[in-house]
Amino acid sequence: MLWSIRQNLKRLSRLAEPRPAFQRALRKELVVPRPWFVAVLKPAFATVSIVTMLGAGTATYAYTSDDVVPDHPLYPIREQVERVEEAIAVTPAKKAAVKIKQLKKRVREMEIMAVKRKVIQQSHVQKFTTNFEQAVTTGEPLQNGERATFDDALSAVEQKQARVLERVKERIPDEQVRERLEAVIEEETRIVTERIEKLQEKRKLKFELQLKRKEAIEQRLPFKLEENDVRVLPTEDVEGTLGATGTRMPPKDPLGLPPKRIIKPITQDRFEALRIRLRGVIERGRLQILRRKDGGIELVATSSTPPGIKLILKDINARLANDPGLVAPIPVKPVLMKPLLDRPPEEPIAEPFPKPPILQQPSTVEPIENIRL
Amino acid sequence: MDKRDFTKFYDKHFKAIYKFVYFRVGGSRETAEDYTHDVFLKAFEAFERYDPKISGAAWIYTIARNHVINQAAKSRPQTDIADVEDALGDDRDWVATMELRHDQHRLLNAIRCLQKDEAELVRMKYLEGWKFEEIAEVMGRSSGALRVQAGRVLKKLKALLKQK
Repeated sequence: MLWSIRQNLKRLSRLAEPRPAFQRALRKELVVPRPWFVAVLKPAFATVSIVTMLGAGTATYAYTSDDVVPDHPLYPIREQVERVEEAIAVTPAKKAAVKIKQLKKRVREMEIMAVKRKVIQQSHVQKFTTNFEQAVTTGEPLQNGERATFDDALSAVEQKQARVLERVKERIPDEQVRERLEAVIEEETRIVTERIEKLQEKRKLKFELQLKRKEAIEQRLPFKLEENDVRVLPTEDVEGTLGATGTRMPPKDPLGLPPKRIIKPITQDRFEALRIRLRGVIERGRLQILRRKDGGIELVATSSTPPGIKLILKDINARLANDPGLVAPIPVKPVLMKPLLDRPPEEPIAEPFPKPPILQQPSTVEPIENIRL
Repeated sequence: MDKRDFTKFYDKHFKAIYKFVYFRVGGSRETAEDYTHDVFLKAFEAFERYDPKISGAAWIYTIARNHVINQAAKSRPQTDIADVEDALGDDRDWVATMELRHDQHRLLNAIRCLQKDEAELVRMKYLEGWKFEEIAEVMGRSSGALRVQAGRVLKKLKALLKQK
C-alpha cells in the first residue's frame, strides 16, 4: 500500500512538470553572455542567409544574440535582418507570425536591459507600441483558427510587456524618472487599448453583417434555420429521394447548402419515448412550461436545456398543441412568455386560466411536477 | 558568488522551484511560469551577494516563498499575511482545476488532513522533488530525522486513506 501511495505521489508530481521550452528560454535569459564567436557557431535562420552582404556571421549574431539590445552597436543590423524577414513572408499567416516574433524580441530586449540594469528609454517603449500596431494591422486578414491563435499570441505578448514594465518601474529609485516612465506607459497603453477596441468594433460589425445575411437567407427558405445553424426538416416534408444503395436520402437544399444535421421527424412512437425523457428534464428545471391564453401549453428552453431537446422543441410543441392525452397544468404563477426569435411576442397570460375545451378539469390543485406528458 | 556560476545554480533548482510555485498557484501553468521567472530573476540579481555558506536550496526556497506570498497578498489587500501563508498550503484550487483520478483526489485530501509540517514534508519530498538534504536545510533539521518522519507520514497517510 505504501508503494501505491508513492506511485500516486509520483504521478501527481509528473503533472507539474515544467515545459522544456520555458526552462530553456529562462536559462537563456539568465545565462551570463558567452563570447561572440560561440554565438556565431549556432545554426543560422534561413532568412539570414540572404543578408550575406552584411557578413553571415555578424548578421547571425546580431539577430540571435540576447546581447544585442537597442544600445548595442549591432542593433541596426538586427533591424535590417527583421525587415528582410518581413519582406520574405508572403502569406498573411506568415506575416502575422513574423510580427509576433518581432514583438517577443522587443519584450525580451526590454527584459534583458532591465536585468542588466540598463536605462530603458521612452523610444524603447514606443518601439514596442509601433510594432504592436503593425502586428494588429497584419493580423486583420486572418480567418477563424489562425485569427484566434494570433489574437492569443498578441494578447500574451502584450501582457508580458506590461509585467516587464511594472518590474522596471519598481526598480527605479528616482521618483521623477519613475513618474516619467509611468506617463509613457500610460500613453502607450492608451494607444494599444484604442487599437484593440477599434479592431473589436470592426469584428463586431462583421459579425452583425453575418447575422443579417443569415436572416436574409432564412426569409427565402421554406423552413427556419436553428440558432446553431442546424437545419430541421419540416415533419411533413421528409420524403427525400432513394439513393443508389436504396437508403432514403434527405431532400436537396434549395440553396445548395450541404445539410449539417438532419433531425428525424417526431412520429407518435418517438413522442411516446420523449414523454418520459421530457418529464425528467422538466422535473430538473431544465425546461420551462408556459401556459398560453388559448389554453395550450408550450415548452420553452432554458440555459440548461439539453441540446438534443432544444433542437426538436418546436416540433414537440406542435405535437403538444394537438395531443388529446395531455392533462392540463394546474394554475401556477403566471409567467410571461419570452419572445422567441421567429415568432411575434404573445400577450401575457392573464388570471384565471381559461379551461381547455378538450381536457378534463382536475378537482384539486396539484403541483406542476405531477403533469403527465 | 560569481554570476557565471548562476547557470549551474539554476539547473540544480529550477524544477523544484517551478513545482513549488505550481502547487501554490492553483495549477496555472502560465502563473507558475511567470512567478518562476520572477523568482529566478530576483535570485540572479542578488546572486553576487549570496553567501555560499547558506544553503542554496534554502536561499532560493525563501525567495520563492516570499514572492508567492507577496503576489497572493497583493490580490487580497485586506487579508492578514498569516492567512495568506496558511492558504498557500491549501491545494484546493489546484485539485479543483486538474483532472485527477479518484485515488489521487483521495490522496490529496488525506495530505490536507496531516499536520502542517508533515504535509509540507510530503509536498516537498514527493510532489516537488526536493532531496532530504535540501529539505533539511530549508526546515533546519537533520536529513536523517526527516527520512524517519517521511516514513511515518506515509504510514499515517495509509491509515487515513483506509479510514476514508
